[in-house]
Amino acid sequence: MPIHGGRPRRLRTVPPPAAPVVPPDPAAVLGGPLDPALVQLRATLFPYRRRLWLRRLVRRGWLASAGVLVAELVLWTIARFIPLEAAAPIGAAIPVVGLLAWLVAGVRARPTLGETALAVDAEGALGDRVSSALELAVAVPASATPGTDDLDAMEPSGAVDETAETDRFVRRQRRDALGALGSIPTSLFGPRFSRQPATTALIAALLLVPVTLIPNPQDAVIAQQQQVRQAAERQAEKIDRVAQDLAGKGQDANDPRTRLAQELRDLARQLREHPDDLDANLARLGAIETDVRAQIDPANEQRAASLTALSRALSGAATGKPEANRDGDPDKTRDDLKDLGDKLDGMTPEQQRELARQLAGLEATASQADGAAGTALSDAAQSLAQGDTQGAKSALDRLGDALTGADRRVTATRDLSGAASRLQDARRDLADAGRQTAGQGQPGQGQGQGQGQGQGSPGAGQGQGQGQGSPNPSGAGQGQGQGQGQGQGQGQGQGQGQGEGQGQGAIGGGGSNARSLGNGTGGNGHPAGPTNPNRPSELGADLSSVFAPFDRLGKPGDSSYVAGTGGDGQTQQGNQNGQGSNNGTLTPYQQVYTDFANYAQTSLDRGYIPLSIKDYVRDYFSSLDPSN
Amino acid sequence: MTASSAPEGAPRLAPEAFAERAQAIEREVGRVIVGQAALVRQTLTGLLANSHVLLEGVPGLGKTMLVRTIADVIDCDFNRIQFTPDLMPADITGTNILIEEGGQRVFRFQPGPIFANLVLADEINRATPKTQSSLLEAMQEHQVTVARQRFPLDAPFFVLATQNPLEMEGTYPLPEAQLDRFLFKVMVPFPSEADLVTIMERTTGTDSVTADKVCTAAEIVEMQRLARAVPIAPHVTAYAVSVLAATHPDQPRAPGLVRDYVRYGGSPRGAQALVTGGKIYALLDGRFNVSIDDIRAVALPSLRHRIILNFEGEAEGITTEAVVRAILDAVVAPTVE
Repeated sequence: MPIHGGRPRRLRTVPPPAAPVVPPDPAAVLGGPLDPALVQLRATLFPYRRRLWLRRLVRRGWLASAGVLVAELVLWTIARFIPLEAAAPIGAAIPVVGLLAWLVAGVRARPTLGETALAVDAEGALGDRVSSALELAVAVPASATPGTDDLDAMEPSGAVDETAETDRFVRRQRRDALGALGSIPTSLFGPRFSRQPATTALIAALLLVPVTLIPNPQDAVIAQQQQVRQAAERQAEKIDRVAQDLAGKGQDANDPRTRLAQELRDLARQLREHPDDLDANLARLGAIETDVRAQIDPANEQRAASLTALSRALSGAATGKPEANRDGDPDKTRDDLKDLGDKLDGMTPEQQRELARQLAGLEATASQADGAAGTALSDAAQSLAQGDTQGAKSALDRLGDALTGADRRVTATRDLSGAASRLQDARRDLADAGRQTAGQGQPGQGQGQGQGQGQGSPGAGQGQGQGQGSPNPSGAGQGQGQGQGQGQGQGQGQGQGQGEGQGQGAIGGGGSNARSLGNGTGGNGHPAGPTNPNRPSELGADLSSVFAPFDRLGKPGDSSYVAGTGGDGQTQQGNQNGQGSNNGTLTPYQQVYTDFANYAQTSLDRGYIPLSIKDYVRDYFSSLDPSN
Repeated sequence: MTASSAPEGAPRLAPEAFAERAQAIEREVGRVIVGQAALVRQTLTGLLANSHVLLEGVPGLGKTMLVRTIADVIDCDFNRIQFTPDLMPADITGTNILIEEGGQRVFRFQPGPIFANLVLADEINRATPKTQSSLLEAMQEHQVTVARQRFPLDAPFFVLATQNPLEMEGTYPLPEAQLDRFLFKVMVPFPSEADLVTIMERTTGTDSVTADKVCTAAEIVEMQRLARAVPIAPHVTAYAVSVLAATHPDQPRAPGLVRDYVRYGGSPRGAQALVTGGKIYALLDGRFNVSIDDIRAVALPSLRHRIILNFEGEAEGITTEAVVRAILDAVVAPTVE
């Protein structure tokens, strides 16, 4: 008959078995002399107790081994999915912990006499004789003392002394237990092979071999994390230096450099406290960099160039020596203007008008340099034209102050710009450290191709360039550039001639993101356009991981046209002849230089561009600086 | 010093002689009852425990023969009461009858068949509950009260009731209180073919096998006293209590079968039956202490009639034997590593 019908059984949690009632040791519970049979019983149990302890130690040894191996297996399995930098020390600590656990468990596993009695009863099939003997000795204390040996003595029929009979019964039972104990083999409680823990340990060991021997992909991740931390520490030091530099330059608490220095210190602290949080650190770096760039005047360099030119021109006008202030130092110009103001009263009206005319000629440059300077210069010119020397003197003083103020602003902006660039470098280095090694791009190669045509005339030139480039699927780009220039010019009105020129290799471009660099920025063929034969046509390995957002220059394969960068006639190279004529549409490059320089500087500041390229671009524009 | 009274002139019996004497009884009974060693052992245990046994089996398995043989072996009075629906309590206990004595009419108590050392209550479930309950006092207190007069029953007093699991129509199942007074409920199994061959040879021939007297009623009483004196260790008592507790569905240690299909578990008499039966089993095994195995050995006859199944259990054919086995599986013997 089936016990269970079709009704599904409900799952229940089986309560753990109750802890066994362990017989106490009569010697520990009872005082005084014990029954010799009881003493002998205890003495007989002691060897079994030691053997039982040994068995427990062996079993716990198997359990500890299985636990250690399983823990190692779990650890190294997890370490294959999660980067655990502490896996190695943890893996080394597990056996030690297992050994300690085994020792502790071994000490705690020392069996009591009662446990030994229970085990002997169970394994020797003694029918609870021994454990009952110990328990009954405690339950009937009178029977535990030395007593009569005549257990077979009968009472007369009639009333029965139950106490005496119980005593005899217990003693009889004790002797029976002692006899049974002597009949069991002494090899009881031999150490056993614990099948389940041993099987578990064996399986774990077998699985552990491939888990530990197969290269762990997380090792690369861990190495990268370490690189990120190291990079964060390095960048924190760099940022601290930047902050220290800015703090030294900041003039007061409201100076943007002072505020930026404080932000940078906070950033450095965050980098040190949370070096692993790459995303947060990059975000913070980016936020600060963006904030700094928002404070940078894009036309700062133009303003600086104008300021330099204005200072140089004003010093020349004030002293009458064109080379008086070749560096265009505004402070020197202020001093010169002050001296000029002091001399105004001694100047003839003709000289004053001449000076006013010269100053008026500089108004446009002054306006570009600084609004206040332009106003002061205009006021000075008007005052001089009207013969108002006092007004002119005052205006010249304001002009000097405006120049120095503008110079300070330019300097501050440059400091901020420099700080932004260093922040960008820090961000790039940090991002590079966090980039997967496998994901890094291969060093790119590229060449640009361009064609240029130029026309030149004394003081003017024009060039055209075309370039093509395309990235290959691996990310490397190739391009070739050629430039052709054609110029016509008339040199100082001497002779006639026609000339053709060809140039090659304007800007080859290239790189890992050659889709941009290959867009052909070349084509500035001489004699019209400036070229730089030193431009590397292949970028080195240090540029391989750089993202250069050159989208502003076009898409791969697009033609680009760079207008108006041609050189003047004085920089013509090559053979040229011909008849030149000024068609009136050409613009002197001095007037457009600032725009291009500022554009290039802004581009440098806004993107990840290697330092070598930045320096290259800066050197390029510096070489073209008309002030030099 | 505590003392208990023993029958006058009763011989003292050494514990070592207990098993010898009991085995002699079993041996003599076994000469008549073919096979059924467990049945004989459990019935004898009920006798030596000074309690009563309920036998359940189909007709013709030798239940009456068993009781009669035991009565012969231990030299005791034996009465058989065939329970029928019209049987009245007075038919069992006896009644006062009017008799003439010395020219006067007086009421004199006429003892019923209950007044015997061994009473076979045959097909006890065919009598009405009123008649069944007339056995309660006799079984529990070993006395009969009639017309405000109490009449003690001679020791030993042993009721062996039988009931037929078939032909249940017109029967009155024993109430729980009545069932609880039986130490054991013993199922009488159908004999094996080999035993049947022996039975045929013994019962269909001219030779009849009879059992000799190997024990007296006084010795049985002494054996009963000796059995109660067997000491039991606390951990064994605790195990017996755990087994009994596990028969109750609201106990945490009750196995799933008990929780699902048992309405009521055993009463404390169940634990008493476990311990008492265990003591006798220990002595029969030549031991002077009760072991866990003794408790487990008597668990089935001690508890099967004390467990009341619920409707689901009845509907799904769950047996109390299966429940007891599940309990024994769940309540493991206390062991150490």
